[in-house]
Amino acid sequence: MTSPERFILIDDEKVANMLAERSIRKVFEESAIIKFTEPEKGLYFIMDECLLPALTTVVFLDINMPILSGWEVIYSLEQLACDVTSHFKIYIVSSSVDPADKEKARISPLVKGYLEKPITRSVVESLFMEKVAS
Amino acid sequence: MKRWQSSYIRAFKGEAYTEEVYGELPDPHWSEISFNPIIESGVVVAVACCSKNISNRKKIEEQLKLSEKMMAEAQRIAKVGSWELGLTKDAGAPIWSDEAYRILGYDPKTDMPSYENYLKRVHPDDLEFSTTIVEKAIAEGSKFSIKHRLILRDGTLRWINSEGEVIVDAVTGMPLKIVGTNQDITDKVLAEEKANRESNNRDILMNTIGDSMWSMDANMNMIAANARFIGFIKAFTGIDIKPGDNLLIEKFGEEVLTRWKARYERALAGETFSEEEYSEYPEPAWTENSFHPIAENGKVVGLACFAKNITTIKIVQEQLKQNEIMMADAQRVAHVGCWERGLEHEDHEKNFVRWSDETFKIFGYDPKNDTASYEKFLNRLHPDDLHFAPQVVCKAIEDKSRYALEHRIILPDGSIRWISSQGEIVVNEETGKPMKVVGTNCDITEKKLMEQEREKIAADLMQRNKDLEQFAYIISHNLRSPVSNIMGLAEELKDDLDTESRTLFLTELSQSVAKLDMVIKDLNYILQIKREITEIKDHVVFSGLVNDIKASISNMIQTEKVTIDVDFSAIDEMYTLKSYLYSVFYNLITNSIKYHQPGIAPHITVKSNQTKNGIALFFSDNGMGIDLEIQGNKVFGLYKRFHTGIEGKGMGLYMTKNQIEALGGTITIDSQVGVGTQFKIEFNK
Repeated sequence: MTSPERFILIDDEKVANMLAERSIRKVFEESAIIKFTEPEKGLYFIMDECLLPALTTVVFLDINMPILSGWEVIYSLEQLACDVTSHFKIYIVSSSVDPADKEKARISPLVKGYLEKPITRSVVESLFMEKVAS
Repeated sequence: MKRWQSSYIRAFKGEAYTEEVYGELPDPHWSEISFNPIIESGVVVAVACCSKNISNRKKIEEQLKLSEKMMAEAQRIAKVGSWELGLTKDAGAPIWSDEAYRILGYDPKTDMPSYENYLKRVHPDDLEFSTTIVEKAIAEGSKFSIKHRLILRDGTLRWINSEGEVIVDAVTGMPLKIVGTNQDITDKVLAEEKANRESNNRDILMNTIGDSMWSMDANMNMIAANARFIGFIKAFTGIDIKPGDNLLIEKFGEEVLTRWKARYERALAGETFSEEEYSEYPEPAWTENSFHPIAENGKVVGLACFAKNITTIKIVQEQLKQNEIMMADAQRVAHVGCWERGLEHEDHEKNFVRWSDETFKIFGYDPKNDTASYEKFLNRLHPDDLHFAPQVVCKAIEDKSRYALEHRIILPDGSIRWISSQGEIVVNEETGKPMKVVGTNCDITEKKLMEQEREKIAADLMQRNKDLEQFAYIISHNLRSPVSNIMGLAEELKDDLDTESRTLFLTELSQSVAKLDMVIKDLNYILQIKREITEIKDHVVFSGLVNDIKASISNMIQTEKVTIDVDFSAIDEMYTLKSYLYSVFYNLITNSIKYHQPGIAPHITVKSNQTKNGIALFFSDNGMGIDLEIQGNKVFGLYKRFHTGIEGKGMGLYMTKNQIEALGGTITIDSQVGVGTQFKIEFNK
C-alpha cells in the first residue's frame, strides 16, 4: 500500500472535513491534508496545480455546497486544457443516497469513485485495499 | 273485193258461216252476213248469202259491255263481287263477277265458278255456321248476311261480308236461285280490331290501376268511371252505379255528402284543385282527390275526377320526416352538422353548397334566413387557421382522399369555438374527377377546453412530481447530512480521546443533532404550506404589513441603519391570506438586510402597481446581488445558499416562492452583483 502524498478535502461542513481528516490520519500518518470549506477555493487550488508537476493527491469532494456544488467543481475542471486525472484522484463524497449522483460519478472521466459519508477509517482503508487488489 | 272472194271460196268449200262486218258506206253500219252453201249430191252448187243490218244490236251490245265493264270497275273499287247460284236441278254453274273471283282469290280467266270452289275458300272455323245460315235462308226463302273469314290460296286471311237473297218461284214457292254479293271487309275488320284493342287497353288501364277515375256532368251525374271507382261505390254504399246516376248517393251519409258536394261545386265553379284526405273506411288510407273541370266553349260542363291512394307515399313521407327530425335531433344533441360542397366548377361561387341546420347553428348562422356558402364558412374561420384549414381540404381534393382536422372559428359575438372537421371527396365515377366534398363539423370546444385543462393538469402534476422528487432528494440529503456527521462523531467517540477532543466532539455531536432537529422542523413547516390552504382570506393592507415587520425587526433596522421606502399609492390592499403574505414580505425584507453590501446601509423600496390582470409588487434593494447567469435557476431552490459566511438555511426564497404560488401568484428575480436585487411578485385576478 503506497500512501498518497496528499489529501484535499472540500466540504462546506467543518465537522465533515474534520471527521475525514481524522479517519485518513489513522491510515496514512504521513500524508499532507488540505481542507477547504469554500469549494471555489478548493477549485482554484486544484486549477493552479494542474499544470505544475504536483504531488499524487486524493480529493474528497462534497456535492451539496452553497455557491458551488461538487458537480460544478467537476464541470469547471472538465473545461481545463490539462489532464487533471494525472495526479488528482477525485472521489465524490456525499451524504446523499440519490442513485442519479452515483450514476453521474460513474460516468464522469474525472471521478474515481463515489463515497457515502461519514468517511470513517474503514472507508479509507477499503478504498486503498481495493486499489491494491485490483 | 278480196274479202268477198275469200268469203265466197270458204262457202263454196262447204262451210256455212256468219261474219259481222263493219262498213262506213253509205252510213256507218254493222252488217251480219251469212253464207250458206247449197249442196246437191254432195257438191256445193251455190251459196245463199244474206246480209242483215245489225247496227242497233251492235250498239246495245256495246252499251252492255260498257256497263258490265263499269260494273266490274265499281265492284273492284268497292271490293264487292256479285254472284248468282242456281238452286234448281237443271241449274248450271254459278255466275261470279270478276270481283267475286278476285275476292275469293280466283282468276276469272282460268278458274271455274262453283259452289264447291267457294266453300274451299271459307275458313274451316266459319264453314259450319255459314253453311247453316245459308241452308236456313234457302229453307225459309229469306235473306241472309254472314260475316266470315276466307283463307286464300297463298294463306292470306280475308274477311268478307256475304249477303244473299233467295229467289223463290212465285207459284210453287220453291227456291230458284240465290243472288248475292261478297264484300271484302278485311281492312274494316282489322281497323275495328285495332280500335277494339286500343279501347280494351284503355279499359284495362283504367280498371287495373289502383286509383279511382270518374267523370260527371254539370248536374253531378256520372258520365263514366273505372272499375275501381265503381267497386268503391259498391263497397261503400252497396249500389252499382251506372252512367247517368247521380254521384251524391244518400247512403254516403250526411257528413261525407256535404264534403263531396262542396268539392264538386268548387270544381264546377272552374277551379282545378287537389285535396288530401284520410279515411278509415274501407281501410285506413290516405287519398289525394283531384278535380279537373271540363270546359266547353268557356263553360264548365262537367268534371274529371281522380282519387289516388297515397298511403304508401304518406308513410314514406312520414318516415322521411321522422328520420329528418331524428337526424336533426342527433346533430343538435351531438353538436354535429353535416354539409356538402360541389367541386365541379372552377369558380367556387358556381358550386352548390348545402348545410344541415346544425351546421348553420355551429357557424352562428340562421338556418331559416341565411343561405349556405363557402364564403360564409371562410368568414367564420379563425385568421390563424385561415391558411392551414383550406389547405388540408385542398390536399384531400388533390388526393381524392379523406381528411380530418381541428380548427377554430370566431362567432359574431367574438367567442372562439373549436371545430372538428372531417370530410371525404366524392369522385365522379365516369370522369374520375372530384365531384363534391361531403363532411361533418363537430363543435368540440368543451372537449378541447377540457383537454387543454387536462394537459395543464398533467403538466402541473408532472412539475409537482418533479418538485416532490427534488424535495425528497433535498430532504433526504439534509437529513442524511447531520446523520452522517452524528455517525462519524459517534465512531470517533468510541476511541480513547483526550478531554479536549472529547468535549469538541460532544459539542459537534449536539450541534449535528440540533441541525437534524431543525431540518425535521423545516420539513413540517414546508409540508404545512404544501397542504391545502384552510385559513380564511382577508383584506390585507400592504402598508400595515410593512409597518408590522418594521416593528418586529426594529433592532436589526437600527443596527444595520436600514431605510425602507414604500409606495402603495396605486393599490394598498389585497384579498388574500395574511399569514402567507406577511411571511413573503418578511423574508424578502430580511433577505435584503442580510445580504447587504458591506459598508453600504441597506436601502429597500417596496412598491405596488395595478396591472392589466391584477396586482404587481416590487421589492428592490441595493444589496450584494446574485450572479443570475450562474445561479439563476437555483435562486428559489430549497437549501440553496449563495453567500458563504452569512447565516442562512437556504430555505427563505424556497418558502417565499411556495407561499406565493399557494396564493396563486408568481415571483421573478432581477439582480446584478454589486448593484442590487429586485423581486417582482404578480397576482392575477
